[in-house]
Amino acid sequence: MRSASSRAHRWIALLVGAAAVLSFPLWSPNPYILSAGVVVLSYAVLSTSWNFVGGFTGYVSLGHAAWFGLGAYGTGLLIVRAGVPSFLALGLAGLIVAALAVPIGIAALRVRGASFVIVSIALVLVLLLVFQSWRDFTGGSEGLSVPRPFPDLLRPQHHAVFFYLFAALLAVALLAWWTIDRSRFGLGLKAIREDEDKAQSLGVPTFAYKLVAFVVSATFTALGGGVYALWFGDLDPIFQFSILLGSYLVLMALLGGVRHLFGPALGALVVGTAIEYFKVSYGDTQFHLVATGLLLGAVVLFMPDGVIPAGHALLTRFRPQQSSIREVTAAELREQVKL
Amino acid sequence: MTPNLATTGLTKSFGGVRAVDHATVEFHDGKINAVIGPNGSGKTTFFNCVTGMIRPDSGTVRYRGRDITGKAPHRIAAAGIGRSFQLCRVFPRMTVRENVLAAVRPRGLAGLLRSAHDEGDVERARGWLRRVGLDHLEDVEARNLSYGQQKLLELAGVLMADPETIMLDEPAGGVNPALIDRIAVLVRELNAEGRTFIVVEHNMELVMNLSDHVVVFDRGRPIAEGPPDTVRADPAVLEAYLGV
Amino acid sequence: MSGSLLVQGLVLGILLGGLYALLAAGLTLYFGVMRVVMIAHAAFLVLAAYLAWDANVRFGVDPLASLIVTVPLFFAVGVGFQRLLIARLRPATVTMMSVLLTFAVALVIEGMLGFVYTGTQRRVQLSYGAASFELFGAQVAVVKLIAFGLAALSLLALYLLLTRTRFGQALRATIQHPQAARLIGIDTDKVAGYGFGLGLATAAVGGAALSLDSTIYPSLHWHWIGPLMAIIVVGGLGSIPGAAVAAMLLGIVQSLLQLPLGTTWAQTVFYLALFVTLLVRPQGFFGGRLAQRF
Repeated sequence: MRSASSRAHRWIALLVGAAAVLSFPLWSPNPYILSAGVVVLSYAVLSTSWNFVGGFTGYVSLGHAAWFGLGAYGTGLLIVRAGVPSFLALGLAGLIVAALAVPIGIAALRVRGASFVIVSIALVLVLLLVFQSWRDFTGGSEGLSVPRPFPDLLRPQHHAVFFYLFAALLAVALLAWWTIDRSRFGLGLKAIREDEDKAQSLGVPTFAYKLVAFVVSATFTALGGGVYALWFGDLDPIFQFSILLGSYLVLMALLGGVRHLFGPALGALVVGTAIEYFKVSYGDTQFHLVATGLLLGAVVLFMPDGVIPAGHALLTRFRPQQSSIREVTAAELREQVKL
Repeated sequence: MTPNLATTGLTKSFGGVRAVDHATVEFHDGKINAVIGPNGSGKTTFFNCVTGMIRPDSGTVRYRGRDITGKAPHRIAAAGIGRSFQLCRVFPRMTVRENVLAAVRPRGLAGLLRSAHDEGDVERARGWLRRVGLDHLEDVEARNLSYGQQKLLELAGVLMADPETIMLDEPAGGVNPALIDRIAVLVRELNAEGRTFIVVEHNMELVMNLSDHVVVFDRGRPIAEGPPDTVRADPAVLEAYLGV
Repeated sequence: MSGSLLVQGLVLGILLGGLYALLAAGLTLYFGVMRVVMIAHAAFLVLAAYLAWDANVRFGVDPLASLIVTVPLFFAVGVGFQRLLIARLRPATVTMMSVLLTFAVALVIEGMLGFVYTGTQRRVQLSYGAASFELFGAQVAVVKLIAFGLAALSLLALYLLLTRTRFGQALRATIQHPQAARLIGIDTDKVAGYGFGLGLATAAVGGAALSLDSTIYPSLHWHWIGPLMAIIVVGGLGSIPGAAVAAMLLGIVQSLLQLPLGTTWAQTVFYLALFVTLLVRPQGFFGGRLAQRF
């Protein structure tokens, strides 16, 4: 049971964290670091969005970049090909992806476990294929240029505006995650994660629940993609429908802890900063592939519940030992033996 | 006798094996019904067909006059039928309290978004946990319970959904005699409160003492039914069990 | 499409299908023995192709000669991989975690390949590289025939191994029912290790075959793992004959579609088949009773 003081501690930590994040554009040393901050925030949005499905239902999507790419290209194409104003395009793209996620989810959620992972990878790969080939519509491998919504802004201000936009999106996503986490819907989803058939026999409408989580996750991810398109301005199928990006998201969520509200964001902070740092120090070599792979492997093997529980376990080893032998009364012992 | 649950010609084959073979049976409403039979007689497959975990090849299942054949398990649960599993199933990494709360059926969007730990639900959950004797373990993760405790937890969860009819698959399997007694007492109490039971069991003593109506399965279909004493003396039943 | 083009497409499709069948069989082996979805299978395939190319460039030997080294090497790596890594995962979540783990391995392999060989596209220069053969009225590149021959021989060897040897029986028993296999005295852990090794050995063969005919680059494995995974789901997870049939069928369809639709659009046939399978029969079409759901 959480004591009042520890709850106060949590609120303070939350406020301090939020203040640090929100004031970042003010104290970041230069525009490049600010833009790196935008990237890290976008990762936080994407991995938190991934966690609607991954964390609650336990279904692992390795191809989540599919939704990111659809949101980015959806927004970009609406602006470029249909002349829709930037933020209206963003909202519309979100709605379109939500609509698309329904039939895709209906097909994908008919399978579980490994098959579902395969399907998620297939989804991002086929979208990559389509967007690369459909040159006339999507620009193919030459990419798509998305005009900036605020063309008069200088670079630092442009980054700052989108920093706050991503922060706002993250806040909404976190609020949605928190709402679901404490709700009956969320408990049903977690029951699916624990034992899907048992959950169904208990009365949980598992397919409908999974589908809702799937669509919510896809939509938030797509919105993240749309904001990215407006910020970055240059889209390319290889970077938008990227398996590597998908694996980053999973790594971030796993590392931070999929059962915690801020887990994926924390993972995004750690991994995202590392990625940006490596980009600066080593350039875009293949090293980041190796590093991601090694880190993902390490997390899977040694801390599958994330770094928070693993760290906690490590700390309790060093804390003064609580008495390990519980005092049991004879009456209690008799009670226990009866069972 | 008003039929509670009735199947007509229920059939299910796996490859070449006919697990359930044109099973036609009516269970008595408000009573404790037992389903017995030698291993491999199709009892659990029959259960799975009735509760929607498996789709039968042919035949019908009617519950209180409604056709529920082949419906999804959650709809069958919503219709008022709860079930336990042969190898008891709980949600391992959820707490005992959460395991029971998972059976709450939310209504509408507001219901879905309301806290899972809503006071009313928690009180009801505690009530069931108290009844099965697990209320002192509320915050323990289910995977840390003993097998016997998990069996009780599974029962509490099933009861939380407030079913009119409860199907238990080998409730006495793998537990010690004291717990079997405890479960038997609970079943009798709940039956007296108006719930119908359909119990698959191998434990003959339990079946004879507990049930009002016994159905004997052999090779995928019922071969005898009636009060325990009648069934016990039926030569067809002896033949099925002993191969004589 | 004209008659001769049709025949051409058909023949090429069969040749391609053979290679797919071998690789899909390997992929099925991992899933069969340990419920592991080995995403790194295609990465190992590309690694083997690079090794074949490297041998050709460094020592002047025919890329197929690399098989002498790569097949036993990959077999050993497969056994080691199963023992050290997969066996460490908790049995309840082995499928899920193994996906992530093998995905990680694939990333590492791709990264290392890019590091060692750079991203430049490589292609083996063969004296018989341009030679072609006439087969049933179709012009077929000799290298494609050799690749098919290699794949067919390996599949035959695999078939004989699985059906005629004691080890093969033990392997099949372990795939069908590991508990029962253990009860009759089969050392399922050891068998699983060997099954894994066999799977990787197929990747070695496939890689050599691939090197004969294709341009290779580090991220090539993503072009193969997608179709391969689609094949094993369509065929039925866990069924080797199912995978082989699905591979042949889809290879032929892809090849036939290549001329009217172009290479990239023709590849979508795998994903289309996957989508249909999910909607109509999620446990796969050709696996029969052996096919696993999930």
